[in-house]
Amino acid sequence: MSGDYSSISVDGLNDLIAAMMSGNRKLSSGLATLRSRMQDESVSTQVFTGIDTIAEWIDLQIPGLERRRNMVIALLGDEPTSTQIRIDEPIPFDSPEEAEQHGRDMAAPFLESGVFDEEYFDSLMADFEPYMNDPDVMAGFYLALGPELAERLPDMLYQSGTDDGARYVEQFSVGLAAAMNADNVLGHSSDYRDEFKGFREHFMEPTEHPSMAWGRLALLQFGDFDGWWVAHVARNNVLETFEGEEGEFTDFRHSIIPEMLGLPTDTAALAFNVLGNNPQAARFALDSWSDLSLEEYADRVYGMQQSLGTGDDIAEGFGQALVAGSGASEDPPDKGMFASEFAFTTILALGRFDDTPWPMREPMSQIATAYAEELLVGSFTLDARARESSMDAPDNFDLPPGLDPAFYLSPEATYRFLHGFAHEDRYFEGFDAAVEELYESVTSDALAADLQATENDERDPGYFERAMNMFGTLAGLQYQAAHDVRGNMDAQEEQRRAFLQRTLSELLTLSPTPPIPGKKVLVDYGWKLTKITVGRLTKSWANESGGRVDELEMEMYQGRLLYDYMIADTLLQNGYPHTEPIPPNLVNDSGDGLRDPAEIADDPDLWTEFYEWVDSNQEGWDERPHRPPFDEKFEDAMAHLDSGDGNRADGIAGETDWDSSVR
Amino acid sequence: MCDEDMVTNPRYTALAALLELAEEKRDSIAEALDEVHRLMSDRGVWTGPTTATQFGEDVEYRKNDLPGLADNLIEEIRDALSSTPEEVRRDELGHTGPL
Repeated sequence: MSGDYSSISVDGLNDLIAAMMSGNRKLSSGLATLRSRMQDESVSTQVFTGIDTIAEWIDLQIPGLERRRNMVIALLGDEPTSTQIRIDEPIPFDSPEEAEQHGRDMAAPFLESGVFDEEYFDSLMADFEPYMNDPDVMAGFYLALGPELAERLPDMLYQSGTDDGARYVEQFSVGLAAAMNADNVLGHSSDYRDEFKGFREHFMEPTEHPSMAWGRLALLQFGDFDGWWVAHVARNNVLETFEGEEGEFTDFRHSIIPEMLGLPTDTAALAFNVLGNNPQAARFALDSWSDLSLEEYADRVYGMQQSLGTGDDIAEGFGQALVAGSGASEDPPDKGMFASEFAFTTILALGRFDDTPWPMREPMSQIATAYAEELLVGSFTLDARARESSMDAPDNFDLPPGLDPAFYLSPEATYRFLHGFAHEDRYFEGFDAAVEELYESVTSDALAADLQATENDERDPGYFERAMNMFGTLAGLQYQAAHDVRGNMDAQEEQRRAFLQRTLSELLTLSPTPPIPGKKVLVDYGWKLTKITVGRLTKSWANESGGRVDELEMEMYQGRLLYDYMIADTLLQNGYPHTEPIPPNLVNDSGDGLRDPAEIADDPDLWTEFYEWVDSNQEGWDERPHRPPFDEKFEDAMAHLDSGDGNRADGIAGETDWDSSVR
Repeated sequence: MCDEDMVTNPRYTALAALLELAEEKRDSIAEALDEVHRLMSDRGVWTGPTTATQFGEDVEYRKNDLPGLADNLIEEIRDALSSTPEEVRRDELGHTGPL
């Protein structure tokens, strides 16, 4: 049966097993009275032979169906139980009982005294690995082992001196999760959930022995466990103490060795790591059930980061736990109610600190990437400028269409959070990519809404300008944050110049690329262009043109030209009407838009022509009295961008008082 | 022999009740695998080139056998009933089994 497989849904197989059991009952116990009364009346029961054969056949099939169901449950992960999962056929072991027995046999040597050296573990794991996702085999293994021996497995592995300890502890962890997640609710075979009750309780017992806590938490590092349970284990073994009065003076290390099996020996770091692998557990442990606020938690973690040898591990784990709780470790990010509330709390808590330790910067960048839309909206300063951060929209908060943030940050909270990871450009990469996508959709939707309103003889709502305000302010806040944390302005300017040069070089080599129909090539660079305009490196050719310019100045002008060119192109691409025809030197081959920017970027005469053409579009339309002329729309957009980037961002950064709490 | 000597045959009564019970059970037997068969015909439950297909076929032919088996069972009781007199002489009571 090579190449055979089964494609199975857990829901479907549960229904099938239930239907098989029902069919079996109807043909066996359901006919017991009839059979016995026929025998009493000496009526031949020969016909039951056929019925019994079918009933027995059904009975024999059920364990095989349960085996498949259990195997699929373990492979399901976070997918819904209706998902079709594929497994290879023939399956190993014909029933859960047979598979469980194999697991028990694997565990048997641990129950006797013996030497568990490298050779022993290598041999055991050769058998273990193929079954680490098999809930029946794993249940047999861990039920036979019991929780006291199980929690010692990581230590025993380390003691064995095996080179593959890191891989083996991961397999033990995955295996334990496979066993504990199998929930045989239909009976017939054992119900592992009940059988693991003692196991679960043992791991939740508070312990003051770091070695015991370390073993438990090491086993929970990799598998996909129930969040409620994981949160209890992490809290009862470590975090309750961590949160206590003596928490900041407690040594949570299991060993003086910094690392065992590739894991930190600091149990606090390990507890946070476990939460970093389980979003629900992170929310339970650090928010719902915690005695400390997230801000107090961060304060304590940051203090340890500076004072303890293993402080970096603790901060790194804490950061990952916050990423998980915020839903930012999921792909795509989980921005559901629980995750986004946690993210909101996290953003405000971490924004409290002027100085963010380095292990926290990458996690903050991950959260910012997942919540780029919320940080963008947090940069909106045309309405409710003095708002406080809130899960609900402020009054009279008129955002451009298409934006639906999970929460509403104040501009200051936005700046504070960006400040936490502005230390190097690489932390902004993911965030900028997310904002880039927003740039394309938000500007396009905003223009469409403006055009529609003036088409309906309504006043221009100015959504495009509002969008420019947001993007401009956000770019300005990023600039200010980087400015503040990097300190060395020469180095920063050097980096910004490199960014400008990179972007120009990318843009100016676009032309050899065959145009993709419907692809707005220049707009794809909208956010990058926005960022280079706020570097205070670019200069407007329109305002300062004339005279000889050197190579550096040329780049500065080019940066601004490309931004302005992109705005004009965006207006044209979205069908914004203009009264003056595009000059022959600037019009593209199809006659409906601007030429590729690379074709004009090196010719200042063409720049001049471009700005003159934009300026010439001063006339409005009699039949659309509310629609601003092309030039006015263009200038307004620029003005909103520049004021967002300039005065507003400068003001927000300047007014931030790091000694006060985040609003 | 006068009519008063004839009484209802208890075996006949028992077989008639048995027949009624068997007829009540008829659909339960005949349709015992219908739901299983329906689920196996549903693409979202269990599919695959060999094992699943074989299982589906095994279900189908057993499902098809069940109505006949249910009918045979009823027929068996009906035969016994038809060969059993409805009434017997009072003095034959206690000897109502097959002659």
